[in-house]
Amino acid sequence: MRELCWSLWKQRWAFFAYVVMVAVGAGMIYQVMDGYSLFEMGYRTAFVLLQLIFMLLQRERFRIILRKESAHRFYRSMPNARKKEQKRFVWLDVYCAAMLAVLLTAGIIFKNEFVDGSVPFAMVVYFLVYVPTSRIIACVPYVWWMTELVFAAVFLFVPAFDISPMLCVGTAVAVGVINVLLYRFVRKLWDTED
Amino acid sequence: MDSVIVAKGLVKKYKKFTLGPVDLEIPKGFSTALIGANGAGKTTLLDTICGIVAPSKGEVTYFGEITDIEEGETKERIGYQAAQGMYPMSWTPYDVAMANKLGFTGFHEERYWELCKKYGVASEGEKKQTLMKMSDGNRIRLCLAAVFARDTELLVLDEPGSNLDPLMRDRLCGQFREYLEEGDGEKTILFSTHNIADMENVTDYAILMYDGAVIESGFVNELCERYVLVSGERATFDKIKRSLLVEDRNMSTCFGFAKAEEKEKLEAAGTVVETPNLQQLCIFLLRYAEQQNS
Amino acid sequence: MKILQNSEIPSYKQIAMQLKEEILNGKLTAGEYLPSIRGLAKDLKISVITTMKAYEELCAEGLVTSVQGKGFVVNPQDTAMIREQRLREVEDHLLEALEAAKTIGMTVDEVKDLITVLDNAE
Repeated sequence: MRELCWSLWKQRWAFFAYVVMVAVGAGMIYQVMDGYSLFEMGYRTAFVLLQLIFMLLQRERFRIILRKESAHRFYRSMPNARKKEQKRFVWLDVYCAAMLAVLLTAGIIFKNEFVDGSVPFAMVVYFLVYVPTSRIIACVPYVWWMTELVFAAVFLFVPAFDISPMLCVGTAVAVGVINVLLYRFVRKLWDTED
Repeated sequence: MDSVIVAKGLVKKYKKFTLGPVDLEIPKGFSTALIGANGAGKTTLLDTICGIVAPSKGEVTYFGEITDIEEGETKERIGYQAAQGMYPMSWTPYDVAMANKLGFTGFHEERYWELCKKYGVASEGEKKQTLMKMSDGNRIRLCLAAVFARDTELLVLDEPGSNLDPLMRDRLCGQFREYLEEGDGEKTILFSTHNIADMENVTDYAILMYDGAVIESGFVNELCERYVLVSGERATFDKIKRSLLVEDRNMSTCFGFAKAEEKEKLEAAGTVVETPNLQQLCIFLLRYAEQQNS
Repeated sequence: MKILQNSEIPSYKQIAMQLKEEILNGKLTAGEYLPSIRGLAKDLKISVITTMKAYEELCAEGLVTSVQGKGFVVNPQDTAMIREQRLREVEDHLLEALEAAKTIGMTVDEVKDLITVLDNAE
């Protein structure tokens, strides 16, 4: 028990992230209980748990990035690192927008059916597309865990709401703006720190 | 003699440590060792030169003409290798290959796997073993395989020899010489070390650092000839005290370190003098710097 | 080329001496290039600056010439000069032997006899 506490303390920032995730999950479950069947609730809870397990499996990466010991030296030794980095951010924005579009379409098509179709679809896309590419994203410190959280929140929250197309477009724009701000923030950190 | 890197008034300020101002030149076609104790600023200097961190002041000229390292493909020509934390611990040898392919056009995957095999660190396409599970030595070997698999003109390696077993260190020295021969005067190596004895026979030019400053630099043979080691009786040492930079007094014999100009004076006083080797020179010069500092 | 790594004679001197020997006895002929400095350093497992110093020493003695971008080329050797040089070496060694002989009271004739004996033994 003491060892567990110690390891949690050592990874307190990662732990903080887990707490946020649990809160997100709890919020979602609350939504589910507020009108969905028991089966659907179980299904969604399983999704949250899967997400949490995945995060736990990735904790090593969490730890490293939070300790600023990731690949930033390697990354900065590359030619045109900034340009490559900008490209990666554009790609991230496109990815965010595409994800939202997929969720929106799935939500509209499968709405009111037995299982909300957007959830399994999002899961498939999440594990097939995001997980492998996250290795590349991991080149960029600070950004990886932020995007992880943003994506997780989007995937968990969106199906639970009765979403409107306007909200989706609004979220896509917001994600884009956040990414640009994040990029500037990270860049500033790099220029001044170390 | 052409210089591959010329630094002028280079300063990097941190909260607790300041590097420089440093002026230095790295001769083209040779192997240069950056020598200093832990915390002397070797890593900071290499990082500043390679554009890993931006200098607070001063400028660096690369390959005789380029003043901005971000310009064009300058970083493509430099093979930078950090002492640690180059890659995330969750990466596998395969991830390292992919990341290098992504970052550098001059990366040759086949050469990388060949070197991995030669160094005995991973078999081709290794996707299971993460860096986390490797020993410190193997991690360095992997990083070296990655950097030697690239087409570069300048290698900048931070502590490449530490954590390597004697056999692997010998292989590393061989790799250095091969790289220099391949370049035929066009390829240069700059590496840092706190243990020069291991790398002495691949060191052509040496730069000594102490507390964020360069205290001495030059081609090894010329550098060693600038100083002398002195040995003599205790009584004679009292007379020559002023000529010595550093001294060790024992009951039977005394040792000292002095500038070569003092040679005749020291011999006349009845001591014996000789030219130091690089390791002896480093130890005495660093001791002298420490003495001046306290 | 042979090299003794723990010898008291510095590596660059050993290299210079051997190359000089090869040039003087005609193994390396005029117009031939010495191995590249970096190639030789690799083969001998020593630093580049060491081989360079050896070559510079041969340059200073006029045995080879540095050609920009091509390496070091062996100069044509003057046979009379080589003979002269060797003769001086013989003189030096004999002088040394005589000095040693004097310290134990050997006469010049005894030394001459000793030389004959040694030559026969060989």
